[in-house]
Amino acid sequence: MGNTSTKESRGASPPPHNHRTSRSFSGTASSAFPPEVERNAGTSSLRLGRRHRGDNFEAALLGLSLTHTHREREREREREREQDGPYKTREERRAEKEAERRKEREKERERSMAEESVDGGYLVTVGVYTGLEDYNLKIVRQLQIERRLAPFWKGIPDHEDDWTDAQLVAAAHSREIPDADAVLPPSPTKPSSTSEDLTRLTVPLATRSRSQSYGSDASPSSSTGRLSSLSLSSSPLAGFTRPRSKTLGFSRSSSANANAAPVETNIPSRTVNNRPIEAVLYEHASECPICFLYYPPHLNRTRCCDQPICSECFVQIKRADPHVPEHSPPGSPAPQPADQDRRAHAGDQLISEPASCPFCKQPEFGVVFQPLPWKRGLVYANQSHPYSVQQQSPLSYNSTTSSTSSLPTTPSGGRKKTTYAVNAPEVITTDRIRPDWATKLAHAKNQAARRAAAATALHTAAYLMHNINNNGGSSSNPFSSRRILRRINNSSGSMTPNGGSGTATPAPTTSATNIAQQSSETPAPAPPANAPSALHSVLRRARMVDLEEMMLMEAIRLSLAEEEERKHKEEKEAKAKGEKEELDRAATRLATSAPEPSSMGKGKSPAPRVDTAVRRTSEEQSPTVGFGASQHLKIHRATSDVSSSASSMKEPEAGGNSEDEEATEPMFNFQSLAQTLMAGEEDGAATGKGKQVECENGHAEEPDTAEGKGVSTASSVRIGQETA
Amino acid sequence: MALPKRIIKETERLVAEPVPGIQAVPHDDNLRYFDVSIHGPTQSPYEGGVFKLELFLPEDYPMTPPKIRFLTKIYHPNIDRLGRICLDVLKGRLKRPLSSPNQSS
Repeated sequence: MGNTSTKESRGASPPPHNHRTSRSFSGTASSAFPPEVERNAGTSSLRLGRRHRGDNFEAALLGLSLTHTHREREREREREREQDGPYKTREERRAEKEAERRKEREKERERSMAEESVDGGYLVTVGVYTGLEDYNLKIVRQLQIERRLAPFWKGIPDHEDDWTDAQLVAAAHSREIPDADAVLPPSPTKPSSTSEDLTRLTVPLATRSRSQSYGSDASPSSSTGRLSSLSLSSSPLAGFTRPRSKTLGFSRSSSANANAAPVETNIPSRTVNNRPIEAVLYEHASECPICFLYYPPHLNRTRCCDQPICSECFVQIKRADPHVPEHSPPGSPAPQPADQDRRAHAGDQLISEPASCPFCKQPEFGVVFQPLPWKRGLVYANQSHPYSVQQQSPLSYNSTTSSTSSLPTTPSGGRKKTTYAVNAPEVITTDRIRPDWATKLAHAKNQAARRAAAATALHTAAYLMHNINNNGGSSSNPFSSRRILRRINNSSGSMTPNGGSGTATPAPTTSATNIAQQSSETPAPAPPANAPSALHSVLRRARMVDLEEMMLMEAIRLSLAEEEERKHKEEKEAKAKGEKEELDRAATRLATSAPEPSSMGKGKSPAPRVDTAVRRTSEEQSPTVGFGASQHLKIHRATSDVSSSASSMKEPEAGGNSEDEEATEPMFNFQSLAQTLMAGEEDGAATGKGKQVECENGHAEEPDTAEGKGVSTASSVRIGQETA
Repeated sequence: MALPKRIIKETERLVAEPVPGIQAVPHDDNLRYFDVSIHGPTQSPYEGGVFKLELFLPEDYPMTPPKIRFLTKIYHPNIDRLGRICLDVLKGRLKRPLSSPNQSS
């Protein structure tokens, strides 16, 4: 999801001229909307793929429908671009960080395997599974040091019960299994080592733990070095050339959890009862039934059915991803047709069930670990076992049984099968090592809810658009869309001052014009006027409405409105052609009749002059009409009555034009749009009229045009007021 | 990465003691990929038929179930046109990893 959306937003973010080209679908370039609006429409349609939307999307939407100056919009776009910038790099940074973390984790794992151990096992996974380690590393580590979860022992692929110690050690170190009669080469089991072992275990432990606690946080590395050298020098095992002699080194966790966690101390011995720890551990190895590797018999046991499971497999088991509860029994066909809908409605019903036992399928899987009778490697200083399953301290146990040969008995032998409740203190559940499941679930729920809201908004929008569309197509009932929209307006209670006038103004004009014109006029102004308020009502009703969908709607609406305009323009152009012809006819009529009034007046060479004047009129008339037509739908009402003379046609047109504007102006919710639109139009109209006035001045002697001039000046004054 | 021990062991076992009526042969170049053929059980509508399937053990097997698909057309309520099988143990995350049958405990 993140990737595709990023790409799209990347594609969309750069310069604005992209937006213009992207709008090629919307027809001819001579749209009545000012470029800002065009560009906004472009951005909105381009932005659809974006997932990460912020407040400024809402702002953009509101900015479309409410007052919004050009500059503000500019600034907003800037902001968006800025937001896009870090977003991109954030993605990249995340990837980098991920890679870095993995590398660090790898290093940490190597270090930990070299230096740290718990009862012959490790505190990091040994690589049975290669996937992501998404469990909480700290928690698992702590549990393992507390001996509440088995350490990550190395699983050995094969095992024979009659293997000698040497063979066992070799197997545990992934070396070739030597012959049965091979002796343990590097680990001399001296008879005297027991006592030394004990002294080393008992005496220096205190000092070590203390020095550890003292010199810990300030300079962990130096203290580690010092202490490891100390333990090496003081240890009788220092001379051992064991491959993992490094484990003798004193080690502690890296500084990350050093502060919170209890002080860790190390029992660096690698022998138990004079035998290598590996030999003791793997002597009666048992197979993990999931990964089929052999582990020491002290594996975790499932709380429900007492099956062994190694830690490495255990940390892999987790909750399934949040999903809709399955009503049908599991095993229904994968792609369900109604899945989309169901998901839309079931946003809150997402569940995440706790993992169930892989063996007996009992829910709420958990394991119990019986600590080994002895301890090696890291322990927490001064830590009494969280639950007193084991009464004896490890050292005393070791000392009392060290002389006997019965030490490495498998605990499972004499153990009775027990089951534990989920909330028993011994039980480690899968949720325990993944405490973030709740946030994950909440996140998924949020996302589902957002998607559902978006779907609702889209449906509502589709409903509205459908109605508007229908109305635009059918001229039989021009008021239906208006009624629907008004109903929405009223129901939403968001009555803008425009809403009322928008519905009221057309009423008087209907009487003057015929129905066909009314119907052709209605749809174009109506959607810009009412659809945004409908949008608002949707926005208000559903708080969680997805703005992305709204932007889509807006883009669709704009393109629809434009399409309407295009149609109108064609109509007008056709009409204008007819008018022009008529105008020419009128001009010729005027030219022929001109000599008569000229004799009454100034009359030096009246005939040619009037002729040229009228010709000028007709010449200038055509561009004016053309301009008006290109300005779409503003002329229609006045042009219905074109049968009279050229001058009488011109002036009411201009007047009608401005009237029309006045009528439609309040209908626009986008005030900025309306203003810019009108400003442009009036400029054109004013220049046209100015010329007309000029040429009519030449016709001052004609009573017709004089009257017309009065009207035209009046209208130009009105226009001047409007522009001011 | 090397083949997990579990896959090796299971393959060995499969070869050593094949399930009656089912053959599964791993590819030489990819030991996670198997050609499977199932003989229609006697006294079933599928009797006499030999149904070929492909099986793949994903990266995190056994934590995710194997991917398996019928290559032979088959009329069965739980198998779709593409041969995909609708079965809970083949879906989602591990619900029940096959446990070793020779597990003593």
